[in-house]
Amino acid sequence: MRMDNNRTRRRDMQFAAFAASAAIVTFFLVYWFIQIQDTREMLKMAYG
Amino acid sequence: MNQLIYNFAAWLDSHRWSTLLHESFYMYNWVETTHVLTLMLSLGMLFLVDLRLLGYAFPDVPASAVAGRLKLPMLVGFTLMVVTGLLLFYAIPVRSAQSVWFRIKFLLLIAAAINAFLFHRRMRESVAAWDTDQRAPRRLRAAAALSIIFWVLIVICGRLIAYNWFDCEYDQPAFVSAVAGCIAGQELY
Amino acid sequence: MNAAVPIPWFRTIVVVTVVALGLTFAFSGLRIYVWEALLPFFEWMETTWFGVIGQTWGAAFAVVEAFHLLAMALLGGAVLVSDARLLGLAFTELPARQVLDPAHRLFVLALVLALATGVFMACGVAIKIYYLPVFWFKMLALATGVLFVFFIKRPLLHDGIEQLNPWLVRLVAIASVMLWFTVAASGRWIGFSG
Repeated sequence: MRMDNNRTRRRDMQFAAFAASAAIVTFFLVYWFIQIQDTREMLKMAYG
Repeated sequence: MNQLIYNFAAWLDSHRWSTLLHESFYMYNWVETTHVLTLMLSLGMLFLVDLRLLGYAFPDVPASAVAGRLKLPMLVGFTLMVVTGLLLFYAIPVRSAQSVWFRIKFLLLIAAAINAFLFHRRMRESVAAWDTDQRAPRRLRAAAALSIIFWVLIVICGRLIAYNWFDCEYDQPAFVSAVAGCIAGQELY
Repeated sequence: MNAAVPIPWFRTIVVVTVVALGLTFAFSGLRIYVWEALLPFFEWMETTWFGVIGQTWGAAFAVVEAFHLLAMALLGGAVLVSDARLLGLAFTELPARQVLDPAHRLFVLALVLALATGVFMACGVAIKIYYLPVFWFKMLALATGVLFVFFIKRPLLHDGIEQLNPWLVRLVAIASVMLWFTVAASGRWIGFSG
C-alpha cells in the first residue's frame, strides 16, 4: 500500500510538471509569436 | 582633452546612422533591452563565480569547475554588453560623453577590468591548492568582493546616465562642469 | 507536506484547475472587473512612504532600480545555471542536486531582493503602471514563475533527476527559462511605455 502510494505520488508529480510546463511553453510561444508579428506589421505600416 | 572628446562625440553625432538609431523607437529600445537583459548572462555568471570564491554558493563544486564552465557564457554576455553599449553610445554620443555618470562608469569599468585580469592570474597560479575548499584564500576573496562592488557601482552609474541633473545644457556648479567636461559656448544637443 | 496530502493526483488537479481558472479569467469580463476594483489600491500605493519617496526623490528611485537590475542579474544567473544543468549543457559530471540546491538558494535570495525593490518602484509609479497592459502581463508571468518554481520544479527535482524522463526534465527547464526571460523582458518594456 505504502509503495503504491509513493508511485502514484511520483506519477502525479511528473504528470503535473508535464502539464504545467507544456502549458507555459505553448502560451509563451504563442505570445512571443504574436508580439513579433504585431511589431513587424506596425513597422510595415510605418515604412512600407 | 575635453575638447578632443567633444569633437569626437560631435563627429559621431553627425553620422546619419547615429541619428537613425537614436530616433528609432524599436531599434533603440531593442538595443537597450538587449544591453540590460544581457546582465543576466554577464553579471549573473560573474556573481556566481565571485560568490563561489566567497563561500556563498556551490560549496561542493570545485571552484575551477564553476569558473571554467561559466567563463564562456560570461564572455558571450560581456561581448554583447560591449557591442550594445557601444551602439547606445553611438546613438547619443555628445550627451553620453559629457555625462558625469558615464565618465565614472567608464573609470569603474577600467578598474573592474584590471581587477579581473589580476584575479584571473592569481587564480590560475594558486587554484590547485584550494580548489575544493569552501572559501578561496583571503586575497582572492578580496578580489571577488571588489569585483562585486565595482559591478554594483557600474550598474548604478549606468542607470543614472538616463537622468539629466548634471547635463551641460543646464547651469552647473564649476565642479560639475569640470567633471562632465562641458565646453563654454558649445552647441547643445 | 508531500506525505500529508491524502488526495490522489493532487498536484495534477491543482495545475489543471489553475490553468482553467487563468484562461477563464483572461477571456471573461472578470478581468476588467478586478482591474477596476484595484484602482483605489494603486492610488493608495502612491500615497505611502515608498510612493512619496519614489516620486519626489529621483535618485532614490534610480538607485533602487539599479539594485532591481542587479537582483535580476543574479536571478538570471541562478536560473540559467540550474536550467543548463537540467538541459545537460553544463556540470553534467556533477550530481544534479549539487548544482540545483545552491542555485535555488541564490534564486530565492535574488527573488526576495527583486520583489522588495520592485514593490518600492511600483509605489512610485503606481498609477502609470496601473494603465500599462505590459505591467499586468509581467505580474502574471511573475506569479506563474513563483508558483512553477515552488509547486512544480522544486518538488519534481527533489529526489534527483536520474529516474525522471529526460524529456520531461528538458521541458521543465525550457519552461523555466521562457518564464523568467519574459518576466525580465516585459519588465524592461515597462520603462519604455507610457
